[in-house]
Amino acid sequence: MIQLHSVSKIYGAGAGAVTALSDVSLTIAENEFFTLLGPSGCGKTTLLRMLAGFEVPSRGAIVLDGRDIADLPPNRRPINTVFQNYALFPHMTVAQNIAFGLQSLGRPRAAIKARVAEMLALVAMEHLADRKIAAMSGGQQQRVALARALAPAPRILLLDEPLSALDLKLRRQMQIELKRLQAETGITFVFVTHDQEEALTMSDRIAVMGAGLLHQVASPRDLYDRPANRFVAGFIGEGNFLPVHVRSRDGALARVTIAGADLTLPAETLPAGEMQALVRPERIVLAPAGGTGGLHLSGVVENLVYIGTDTHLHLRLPDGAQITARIGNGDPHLQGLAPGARAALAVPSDALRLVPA
Amino acid sequence: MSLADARPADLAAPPARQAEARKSRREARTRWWLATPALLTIAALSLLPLCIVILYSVLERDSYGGILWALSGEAWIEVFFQRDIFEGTLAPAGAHLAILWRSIRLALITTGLTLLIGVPTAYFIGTRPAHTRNLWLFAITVPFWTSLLIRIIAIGELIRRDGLVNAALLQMGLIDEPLQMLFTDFAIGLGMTYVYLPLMVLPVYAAVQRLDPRLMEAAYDLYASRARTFWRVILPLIRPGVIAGSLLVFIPSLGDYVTPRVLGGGSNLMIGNLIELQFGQGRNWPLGAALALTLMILIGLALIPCARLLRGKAAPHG
Ligand SMILES: Nc1ncnc2c1ncn2[C@@H]1O[C@H](COP(=O)(O)OP(=O)(O)OP(=O)(O)O)[C@@H](O)[C@H]1O
Ligand SMILES: [Mg+2]
Repeated sequence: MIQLHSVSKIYGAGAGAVTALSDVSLTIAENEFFTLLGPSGCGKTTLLRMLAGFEVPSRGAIVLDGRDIADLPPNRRPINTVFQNYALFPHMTVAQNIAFGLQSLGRPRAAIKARVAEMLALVAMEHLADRKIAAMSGGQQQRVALARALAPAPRILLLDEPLSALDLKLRRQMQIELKRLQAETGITFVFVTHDQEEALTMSDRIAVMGAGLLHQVASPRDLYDRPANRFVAGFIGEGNFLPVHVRSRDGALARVTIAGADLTLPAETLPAGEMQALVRPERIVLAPAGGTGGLHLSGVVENLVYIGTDTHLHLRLPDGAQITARIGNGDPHLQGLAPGARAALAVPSDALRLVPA
Repeated sequence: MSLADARPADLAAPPARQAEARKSRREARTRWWLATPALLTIAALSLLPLCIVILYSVLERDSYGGILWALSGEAWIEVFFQRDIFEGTLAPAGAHLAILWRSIRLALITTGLTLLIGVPTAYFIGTRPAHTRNLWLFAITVPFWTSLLIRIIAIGELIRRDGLVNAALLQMGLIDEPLQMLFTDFAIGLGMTYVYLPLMVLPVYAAVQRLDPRLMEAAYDLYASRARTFWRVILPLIRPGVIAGSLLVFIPSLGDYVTPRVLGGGSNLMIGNLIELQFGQGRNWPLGAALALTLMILIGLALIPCARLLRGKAAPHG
């Protein structure tokens, strides 16, 4: 288990100082596939480099098994990295690359040989053991980089956007491969990506970061269903954001107006301060106007976009806001709808998620 | 491949391919023209003198300087042997061999010292941020602003019996009486190391600059110590630069003439001085020519292992 306690990182000093991370605290469990997700420049690489030991936190502690390792150099941490461009040693063969860490640790020759063979088998590269790195494809280099970092059996494996250089097909394949490797080796993976789909499909838990701040740490499902704020809600999946006006709160109930429609909701679902309502497109249904329960909206159809199994319906509301619904193509209410027609939508109460703005 | 060889294949090829082949041939010819001035210069100023030197080395000496037009192997014998004037028997030429050995030894020591000092320096400069890097490089080239001779004489001044270095050592109480440093092999080695150091630093620096810093991070991440990272990752990758630097230092220091002349005094000759002597006071041009060729052969021999080292690096995948 590795923990970050209020870790901050400030590059430079004085007027040119850049705060890359501010006050990040999180706990990564044993055997977890943990992902750092966020837009470019939000500090993912910085966080990873502090875990690896290449950067020292400006403030805060990094605790591995109860010991603060923040000042320990990389070669004394049981943590290995798969670099973004792989950083394989070009003058060595595949097998020599994989053996490098074990040799540094002074393992006996026979043990190294056995472990290298084991690693080559793990990434299905036995036949390429004596190849030089320059003569290998991107996907093959990726596997060697993985084998090299896994060979010393680290406690934690760090991966900084390891798949970003691969084409889509290979990427999919490597995503599955990575999950398999993690399951087989039982090593904690800390994975960096800015691709939310990749994060959702691979991770046990995801830390969503933005501009040096840690916004939320949760399982993919919780991030999608219960985003902590507007930033997370907007970053994970697609969503409609509707303005919320709180008219009154008495006891357990709150009366609110969402996009012009009145609604009564349990007060505990309301966050403090300014808020917006998140509605996922696939939770919206076409319904006759004037129904009860949940949120009912009506407006003018702007556009219908056929996307295979479903249709995206863009509706302009009376207050000028636009809302996107994803309607199954089997829905009978969809028949006869055309741009310019009036339509009514319903959002079940449990599909409404109020998030801090 | 000559034009005659190429024709049938060209006729069989489709017109586009023919045109392309013609074009590439024309380009190849143009490029040869570009190289012509250089080739002519090399032929006139390098090959021609070399031929003359080879010729002189197998002619008879004229005791007043110059040569006599008669073939003789005497000069080559004299390189390694001494002929007894009275009996005509041969004995190894002790003086020549000693000078040859001193030359090789000092050139090797100089190369070793410039490696020891130059590689870390080049690494240091190559890993500075871009803007300070140029400043350091500039500092390396500053000595070139002053004449080589003056710099060597200045070193001589420093290490004289009553020079600054001895004075400082005496002052600090490290020695009781001045050390004899000038006119020793030490002085020659010191001078050549100083003079040739930039020739080591610059090519090694060029190689260091091309290093991917992430490779060092990767090694460090994989539990390597600093020493292991240097020997197993950095050194193999900058090897071409190190070999180039070693050659650039070894070759001129083996044939150096000025440094031993100024810092070695009259008694500590190197092969360059010996050659000069034959064309001057010694009045033995054929021997001078043969010694010069011996030096060339020595350098050629030194190049063989270097070429093999470089090829070993490039071989697997071009
Ligand atoms: N060595 C450095 N010196 C100064 N600023 C830096 C340094 N490294 C990173 N930064 C800054 O810190 C911030 C976070 O950078 P970081 O590389 O961690 O982002 P990232 O999330 O990995 O982005 P990306 O997805 O583009 O890789 C950025 O504003 C960046 O400019
Ligand atoms: Mg990054």
